[in-house]
Order: sequence, then C-alpha cells, then structure tokens
Amino acid sequence: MSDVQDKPGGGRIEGGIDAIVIGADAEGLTAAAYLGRAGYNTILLEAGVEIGGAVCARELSPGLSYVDGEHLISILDPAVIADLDLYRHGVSYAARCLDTAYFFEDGKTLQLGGDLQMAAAAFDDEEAGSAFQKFITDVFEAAAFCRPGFETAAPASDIEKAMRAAPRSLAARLNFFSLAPAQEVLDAYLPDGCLKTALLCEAGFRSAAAPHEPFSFMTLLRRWAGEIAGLQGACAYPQGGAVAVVTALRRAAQAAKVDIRAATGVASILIEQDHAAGVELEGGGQIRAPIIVAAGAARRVFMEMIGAANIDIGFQRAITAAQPQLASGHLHLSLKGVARDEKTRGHMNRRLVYAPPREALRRAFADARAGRVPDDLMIEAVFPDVLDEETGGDRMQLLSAIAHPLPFDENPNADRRAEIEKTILANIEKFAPDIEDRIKERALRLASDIAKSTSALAQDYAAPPSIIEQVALARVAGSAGYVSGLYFCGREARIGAGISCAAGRMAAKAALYEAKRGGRAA
Amino acid sequence: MTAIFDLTVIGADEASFSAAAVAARAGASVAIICPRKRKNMTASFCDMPNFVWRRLDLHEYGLSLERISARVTLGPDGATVITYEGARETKAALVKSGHADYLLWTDFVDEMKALEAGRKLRDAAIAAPGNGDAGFSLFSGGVRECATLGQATSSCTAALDDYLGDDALKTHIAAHALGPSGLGGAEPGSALALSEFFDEHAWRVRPDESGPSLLSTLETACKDCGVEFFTKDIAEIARDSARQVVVSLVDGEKIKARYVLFASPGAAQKTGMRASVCPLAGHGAATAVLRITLKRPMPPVASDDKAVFQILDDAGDLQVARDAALDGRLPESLPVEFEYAANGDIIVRTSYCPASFRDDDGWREWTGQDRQAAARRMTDQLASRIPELSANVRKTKIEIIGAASPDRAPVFAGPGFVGQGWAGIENVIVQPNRHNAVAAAVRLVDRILAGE
Repeated sequence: MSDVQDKPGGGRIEGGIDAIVIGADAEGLTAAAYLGRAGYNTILLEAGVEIGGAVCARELSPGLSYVDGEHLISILDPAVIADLDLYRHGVSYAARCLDTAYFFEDGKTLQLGGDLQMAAAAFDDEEAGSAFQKFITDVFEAAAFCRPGFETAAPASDIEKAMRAAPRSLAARLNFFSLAPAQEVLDAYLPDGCLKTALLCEAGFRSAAAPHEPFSFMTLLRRWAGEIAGLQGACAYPQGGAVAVVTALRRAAQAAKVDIRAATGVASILIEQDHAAGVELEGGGQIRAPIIVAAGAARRVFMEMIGAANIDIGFQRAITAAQPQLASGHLHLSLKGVARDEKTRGHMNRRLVYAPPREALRRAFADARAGRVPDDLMIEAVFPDVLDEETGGDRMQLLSAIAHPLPFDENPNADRRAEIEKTILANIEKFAPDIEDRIKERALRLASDIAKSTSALAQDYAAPPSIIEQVALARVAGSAGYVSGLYFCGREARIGAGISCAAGRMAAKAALYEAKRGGRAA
Repeated sequence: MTAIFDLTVIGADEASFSAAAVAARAGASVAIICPRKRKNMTASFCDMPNFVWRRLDLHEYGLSLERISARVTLGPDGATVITYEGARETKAALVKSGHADYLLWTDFVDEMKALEAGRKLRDAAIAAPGNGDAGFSLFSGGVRECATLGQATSSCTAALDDYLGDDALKTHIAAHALGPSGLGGAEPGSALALSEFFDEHAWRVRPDESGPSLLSTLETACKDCGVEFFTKDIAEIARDSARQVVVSLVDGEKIKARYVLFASPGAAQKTGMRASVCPLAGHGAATAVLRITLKRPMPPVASDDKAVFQILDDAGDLQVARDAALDGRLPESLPVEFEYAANGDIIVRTSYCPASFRDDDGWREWTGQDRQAAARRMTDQLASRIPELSANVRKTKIEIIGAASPDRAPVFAGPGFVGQGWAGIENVIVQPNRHNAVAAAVRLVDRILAGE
C-alpha cells in the first residue's frame, strides 16, 4: 500500500514505495520482477502505452502480425529464466535449437545445425570439419569464461581474480580474441570457404565494428557466450515470437505484485543530498522511493531526468560521446502463395542468412559509413509462421528479416526508405528468388521508426559499437553517475544485440545488495 | 651452419637496432638480421628517449639530434595549421591563424595523454599471457578506467568531435596522428593513435647535418656490444621446438633463438610477412616512400625545412583513403606526408597504398606501372600545395613497404602473442605501429628478457 499526500502547489506525493523502475522494456520488467520477488513494494513506470519497449506485436495485414524489434533470441540470460521462472510464465520454444542455412553469392548453401559442437563434428569436409571443431572448442571455452564480463555490474575485483586464475593458454587466446579483427581470427583457424564467409558475416552482424576492424571478433564471442535451453551459441524462436518473452516477464512482474503503470512519463528524478529520492511525474505529482532503477536511454535518464549539474563531467562525456554511423533495418513481408523455389522451400524452418563475400562485406561497411546504402547486405531472415503455427495467418505467409549494415539516418526521407527497401529485397532475392512477386504487404522498420514508437531517440536503436567499447560504456553507465540509490539498466548498460535481461537482473541485484547492506533499505 | 641466440631481431630500422643493442647490453646473446640495406628514405625519426640514450651511451658516438621544428598541415586553398612541441607556442600559433579551439588545446592534449586505458590496451596486446597486469584484464578495470578504455577503443573522429569544433584543426591532428599508420578516422581503436601521438617521445627528431646519422650510430652501438649481424635474405621462419624458433637464410644458414622480434610492422612487411591484431598495426595496406630530387633549390614551404608536413583536405579523406587501400585501389585523394632531407631532397610518404591491387580479374601484385602511378599521384598531391614543384622535379625514387603477394603473406597471430601455438609461429613477436617505436621496442625487449 502506498501513502498519498497532497503536494504543495498541486499534484500528489505518493510514499510508502520501496522501488521505482523507469521504463517497461525487457530490462525494466526484469528489474521490477526481481525487486518485486524480493518483497519490495515496486512501481514500474512506462511513458508509452505499450509494455515491452521496442519488442511488440504489430499488425501487418488483417490477421497477420509481426514482432517488431527482435525475431529470435540468442543471448537471453539463463539466470533470468530460472530466477523469474519464465517457463511457468509462458516462455516456450517453437524452435528450440534453430538450424541456420547460409546462402552465398555464388549460389552455394551451407547448413549448420543449431548445436554448433554437433554441427562441427558432423561436417562433411574433413579438413574444414576438424578446423571448425578446434575453433568451436576454443571459442566456446573463451566465451563461457567471458560471460561474467558481459554482465554490467559484475565487480571488477571478481573479474580480475578470474582472469588471473585463467590458464596461460586461455589468457593468451582471450587477448587475441578480444583485440583481433574477426577476419584475422578466422584466417588463423579456418581454411577459405563457405564456413569462413558465414562466420565472418555472423561476426559483423548488427555491429558497428566491421569484421576486418579491431575488436570485431568479440561480437561473435558475445553471441556465443549466450545459451538457449542449456545450449551454448544456439538461437531459438519462442512460441509467439520474441514478444512472448516480454509477455512472460510482464507476468512475472505482475506475479511479484509489481504495480505497472503505462502512460506515466517521468519528468525528473529527485536527487536529495546525492541520493535518489523519487521521481517527478510528467503529469505532476511525485512518487518517493529510496531505490530507482532506470531502463531508458542514458542521455534521457541522466541529462534530462537528473540534469547535467548533478552528474560527474567524465560520466557525462562517456554517455554522450557516441556518434552512431550504422544501423540495421527490419523488413517484414506478408507473402501470398507458396515459395516456388526448391531451395527456399527446403530451408523455411531454419534461420536463413545471406552472407556476402568478404570484399563485398568490407565495401558494405565503408559505404554505409559514408552514408550510402550498400549493394550487398547481410540478411538474417525467418519465416515465423513456419516455425510457429500460432503466428501465421490463414492464407498469408510472413517473412521477417534484419539487414545490416545500413547508414544511420535520424530521419530518412521517402526516397531513402525506398532505396533501403529495394536493396534489402534484392539481397533477400538471393535466397528466395521469387519473393518480389509474392509480396502482399510490407513494413520497413528502421531505427527512426522503432524510436518513434517508443518515444526514444533514433540513435538509441543504432548499431552498437564494438563489444569492448560496449563493455567499457556499460561499466561506466552501470555506475549510474555515482548517484546513490540510482541503478541503471538502459541501452548503454547492455552488451550485445538482442534481448538479454542481464542488465536488468544486475541492476536489481545491485539495488538489493545495497539495501541489504543496510544503506538505504526500504 | 646453425647459430643459437637468446633473441633474434629482424629489421634495419632505429627501433630494431635499439632493441638489439639494449638486449645485448643486458647480457642476452643477440642476432640481428637486416637483409636489405636500408636506403636513406626518411629525414626524421621518432624520438630517442632519454632512458635508451643513457643505456646505450649514445653521447659517446658524437651523435647530436635536434627536434623537428613543427607539425604542419597544408589544407586546401592555402589554409595552413601549425602546431609546436610547446603548448604555449601552439596556442599562440592557433590564435594567430584564427582557430577558435586554441583555448581547449592544453586540456585536449592532457586528456589525450591521460588515456591510460589505451596504454593498458596496448600492453595487453603485446604482453605475455598469464601476466597479471595484462592477460585479458580489460574487463576488470574500475569505472574511471573503463571510461578511458571506452574512449581509447572508439574512433579518432569521435574523440576529436567530442573535444574540438574547428574542422581545420581536427584535420591537422587526424592527419599527423593517423597518417603514419595508415588508419581511417572512423575505425574502432583509432583513438589509440591519438593518445600515443601526444606522448613526448612521439615528437620526431632529426640528426644534426654535420654529425653521424642515428641509424649508423645505432648500428655501431650494436656491433660494440656484440650483436651478431646477418645480411642474407630470410628463406623461412619456422618452429624448431616448443621453446625455439629457427630462421633460415637463403644461404642455408640457420639462426635459432628463444624469441624472434620484429621491432616494427615495417620490418615484418619487408620480409614478406604481415602482422596485425592491434589497432595500431598497419594491417592490409602498404606504405610508399618517394624521394624527389629537385633540379634547382627551392625555398621550403612556410620557410621551414625542419618541419613535418601533411597534405590533407579533410579528416574524412583518411577513412576514404583507408577504404580504397583495403579495397585494392590507389586512393583518388592520397593523404601524404613530406619533409626535407638535409641535401634539399623532398621525402614524401603515404601509408594509404593497397598491399595488392584488385581489378576485374581479381587480386594482383604491384607492377612497375602501379609504382609509377603511385609516384605520380604523390608528386601531384605535393604540387597541389607547391605549384612550382611540377617544373622542378629532376628525378624520383619510390620504395613500397608492405606490398603483399595476393596469395597472402604469412600472417602472424599478432603483435606479441608470445608462447602459444594456436596460429602463426610460437615466440615470434611483432611490434605494432607506434608513434614512439624506439621506446616501445626497448620496453618490449625488457619485458621479454624479464620473462614476462
């Protein structure tokens, strides 16, 4: 129960609250659920009317919906699934361990099983197979070792201790993996061929660091540090799409008695004597609580809600320095009829990836950085209704694709949008030749579109920088500007592309730890 | 015949000779392999730090070095930006030429110098594994360390945009910081070049015109402390045992050592090898050095023959040039650096050349025509700022460093990945491109000898 008093000058002051979470995306929901389960009287405030942030279902045509934001999950924190009992709250997998079919410019295809270790063992080409096995073993070991490093608030001393205890050969390998361009690591391990092209593409996908540039191998390492249903490096399609994960998180939060309030924007965070004391609402009124967890963009949280005057200058610099150059584009298509091409039909129950050749990939990054739409794009596509019957329409088929790299554009005009759509389609045609004739409806979702629907800035949905830079930024942002009682799990505190929830978990854990230590416990 | 040493240094530049001499003075048995005699294709070098000078007793060789007078960038339409070693002098020059950011200069330089995380990152790149200070310690820093790590791993463009507003000044800094290693401003990690560029040892020096050259002095110093010289070309570098590397020369001679050190990526490139990994490693591109002999003496640009000059229209051109080089093309707008040799020749350098060329038939090696085209383009760039040069060129001589065979030169796992064998050859260390190559090479040798 909260206490309500009249605030001098209008509005209400609401007290008796233990924690406030700002932003109801997956991370915010996670943090709120953790706090609620710990017995804290928690309020979750969302400025928009939709719960789930960028990940939500949208109608493409009558009876056919697509999931905006994400279509697969690969780095969802297993601890969150276990702690919040997400399986009981509705998470189940339509495709638990998704195979991937890679398509190449020369018409070749490569199919990799979802269990990469099994896939390596079953590789046709003996030379490539044994090289791949060695590669997978080395990278999986390094990725599993790095996992704590990808959790924002992991204490530096813990990591340092773990690093010092690492075997000599692993430490050396980690050095190599963390600094090297993906191209170089792959050159060191694998013979030329389709497999190398496919992995090069995976390493550059949804990242601002091109595979030939320093630190880019970490993108792949981060992906493979994730595990789905106990399988490292796998990706899955949840029943009902990625939005089902958000729905389960919402249920978990509600089950933990979290008070979820949509359409309740926060104007500012109240700071009293360097401590977070509550929030001032946009509609007037205050809610007071000793713990605030913010899941919005750092610029918005720290520069607008708190104000530059209350924030350390170095911290301000770190959170405002990023100048995005690249972004990914999402294209959702409703298709009439069935695919005529055998190649497409044979792979529709898989994750489909078009992997451009190495040189084309390098040019694509250069073009996108220069503001041009590249000819060749990496495409990751799924047919959600083939993977999950619940998603499909009666007569229509859905294809959801993510294309990368595209130039970052805060406000693309109609011509630019048409050009991007045309290029994405041209690249999809490389693995689905007849698709253009079958398109009934289409929805192009660029960073600016997703930002508009979540009342955020387009740059919040730009391609993230190299993982090393993300780790550095996440640790800075995780400090929440040294404001006591404030915990941050917004975009800058996350590492890697996709739904993770690790930042939300770590922010809530940090808040609970501080409260338990006797600081400002509720 | 087989000779066995503690350390084999490959290369014939200042960093290689310094590293070999310091190691020998520390009691190690050292071989140096300098297959091709270096032609005099440079006028200034990175600074010879005091600690190296003292350890090699260079004052006993009559060597006298003077610091270059200024760093100059010649922009389009006669715009010139000049910075000096001293902050006060630089500020005055910026005020004089109307650059608004003069007030920020000192703070900016201090901030760049303070990128400790950058140093940590480089140390991690060249450190022996298992060392507590390095290893994979990047994740383990505190919040402030992480903030600087974030800066150091970001791009040079982001760092410059964050601090400065004056485009001409940004172009000047980017040109001098990135130009020597051929990096693009948008590349992740290119901010590292900035932090090192403002290090005191990055300020280049020139030998006194009347005294001995730095290179010959260091060569003599090596000989004096018992470094053994080998001048034949290298046939192969291979792993001999778990602890030793063997370098085979074309005459059949074999040199075994616990460690093989390339003190600069240029030294590795000259022997047909390529090194990478670190942001400052010159990966995937080649360097062209052109010596222009004039028909008649010409007054130096800005009346200063002791400065290092860069020619660049815009900072963004560096990334365009970098992309073109990686794509196997000679960039249209080639960023070049030049300086005056003691005899009045002009030495022009660019690190934005492709390692090999790509045309309709695929990748191919450098040809004589490509070399001519590169020389012409470099001369044209120079003539765009010094119009009277065109009619005054007597002869040119071009050297390409780092041209690679299209079927790929052997690639080492990267700078300083000592003691492992998942790729490349064990115990072969390649130093990345450094603004202060001598200091870095000597510090690296110290760490090797200390068994780190």
